[in-house]
Amino acid sequence: MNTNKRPSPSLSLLLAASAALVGHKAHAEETSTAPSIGYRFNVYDEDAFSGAPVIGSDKRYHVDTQQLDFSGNVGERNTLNVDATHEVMSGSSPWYSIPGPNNKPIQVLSGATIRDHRSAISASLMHDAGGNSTTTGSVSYSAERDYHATAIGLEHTIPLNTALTLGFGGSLSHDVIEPTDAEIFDRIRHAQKNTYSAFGSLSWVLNRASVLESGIQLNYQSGYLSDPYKLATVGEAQLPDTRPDRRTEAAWLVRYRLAINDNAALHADSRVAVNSWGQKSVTLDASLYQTLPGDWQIIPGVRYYTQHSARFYAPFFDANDAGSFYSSDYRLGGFGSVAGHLDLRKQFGRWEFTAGMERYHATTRYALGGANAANPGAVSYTRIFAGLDYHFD
Amino acid sequence: MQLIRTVLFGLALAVTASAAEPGTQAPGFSAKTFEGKQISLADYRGKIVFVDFWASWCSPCRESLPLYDKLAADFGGDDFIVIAVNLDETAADAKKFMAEHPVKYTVVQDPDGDIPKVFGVSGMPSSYLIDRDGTIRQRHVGFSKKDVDMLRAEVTKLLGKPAGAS
Amino acid sequence: MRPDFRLLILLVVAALLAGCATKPVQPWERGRLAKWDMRWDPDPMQAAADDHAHFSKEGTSGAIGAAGGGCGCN
Repeated sequence: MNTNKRPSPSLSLLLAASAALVGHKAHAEETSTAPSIGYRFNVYDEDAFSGAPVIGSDKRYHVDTQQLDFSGNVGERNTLNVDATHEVMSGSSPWYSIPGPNNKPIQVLSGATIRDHRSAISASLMHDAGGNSTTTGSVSYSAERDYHATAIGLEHTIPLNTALTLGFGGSLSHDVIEPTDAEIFDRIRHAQKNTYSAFGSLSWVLNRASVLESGIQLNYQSGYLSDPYKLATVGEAQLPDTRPDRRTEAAWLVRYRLAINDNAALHADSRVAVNSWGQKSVTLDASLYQTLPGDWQIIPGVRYYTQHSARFYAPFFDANDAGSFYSSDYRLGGFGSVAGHLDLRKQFGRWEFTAGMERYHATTRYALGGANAANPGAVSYTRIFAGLDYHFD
Repeated sequence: MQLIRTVLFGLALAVTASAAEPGTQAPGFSAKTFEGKQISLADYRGKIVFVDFWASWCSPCRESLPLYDKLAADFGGDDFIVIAVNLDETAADAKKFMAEHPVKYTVVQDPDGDIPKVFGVSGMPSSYLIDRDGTIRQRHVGFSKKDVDMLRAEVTKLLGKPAGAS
Repeated sequence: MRPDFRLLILLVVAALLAGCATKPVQPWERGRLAKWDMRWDPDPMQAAADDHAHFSKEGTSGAIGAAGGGCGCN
């Protein structure tokens, strides 16, 4: 059977302890990439605050990440994937904001520079269940000084006919947080969070040159969902970031791949999400995969993202205004972002070299429909990566 | 209208597909090798013929080609022949693949996909074992190493039978 | 938000109609779809890194260990 031998990307994402996209099966035509080994080095660097008033350091977050990935065949019907990640994080982070002249918020960043590191490992096993069906199971574990997360997932794909494939699955994660300097800053000492997620997707082979996928994902989180390192200004005081202890989210994802000619393909993705905190978001992503003579590929792309703020977000609150929940975390505020990226790939026999860069800029001005509140913490960053892959076959 | 047309085509395809089941006569075909030589299935009547449909983009084919090459070599002689039908739309892709995975058996090109259509091929790769009388004995969709053992056993059995025997 | 919804729905419906109106793609006609650039994620490691960066800076994640991305990312 010409089944895909690469574990479902959605689980690969889970494996990297990052948010997973709606699960799906790689369409049956994809050829195997196993066995192979890959290494990536990523540098993530946020822009310093500029223009907006800031108290504390103006330098923001910086993360260096190394990732090692191995894919291999286990018997005739299984593919194993193991991924290990190590990150070193440093820099300061938005802490809270206070009203300044004209009620314009002044951002306060954490004074001391954070320095922490995170290690994560994950594994997935994809089983060829016959008849072009696959079943994939995965586990992952991520640990840093103050945060541990364990997750497991299971997914299954079935072809409904020659053109249509159904995919579905679920995953759950258990996270434990024990904030650093808890006594000094009067933070909670120990808390937990559970996340339950399910998805369903359909993918179509539209014609010899295009495929389309549509899927839905539902998540439910419960436990401690606030950020123990953030405060919100309520009246004259700074109170701990306080969010509801549950959150439900639904997302609809559509992905389209079009072969423009023998050497070029267009990728267009969209994602619409809503959650029970009042947030709505839309993501639009487009990339061009262009193959050039001499085993080169160049991949330019753009991404637009817009989100509406959570019901209980504000840069600061009047003592009477604040309800039971309040947060000034910029990630809960309204904003829009535009990002562009350019990647390069080159094959040398069994080796493959890749490098790329992304530039991301978020601001309330780009929010669709306008942001209804200021968001002084909206971030801009640059990301650069380089990687090397070796294919054993 | 479109729906009716699609359904009718689907039915037509279904009818064609059932044409190449084990027990039925193998459809005749004719094609050129990459060297330009014209061959047809009828040329090999009286011999055991193994027809394999493959393409450079089909990953199980990478495994199967050398195993079929060994099979052809093991049975040597003139009575067992392997005909691989290549379905790459671009000849250059097939040639590059064969330069990396050379085989000694006959390979013909069918970029338009006429031959798999008459055989009713339902998946890639697909293979058919045809006896001396032109009857299909085995059909495999997809590839696994176990298939080669089954093939070996059946070819040995068929070689022992002359043409016309059941 | 609404204009984006309409466009998305149109794209999906158009693609569906296109899929229904044409004849099915035969197994041997799928060579172009098998190429690396037609995968959902041609580089899964990079897709994972991209999503991690985006989801740890954005509020709607849709997945495991979100709002932090399975980590305490700030």
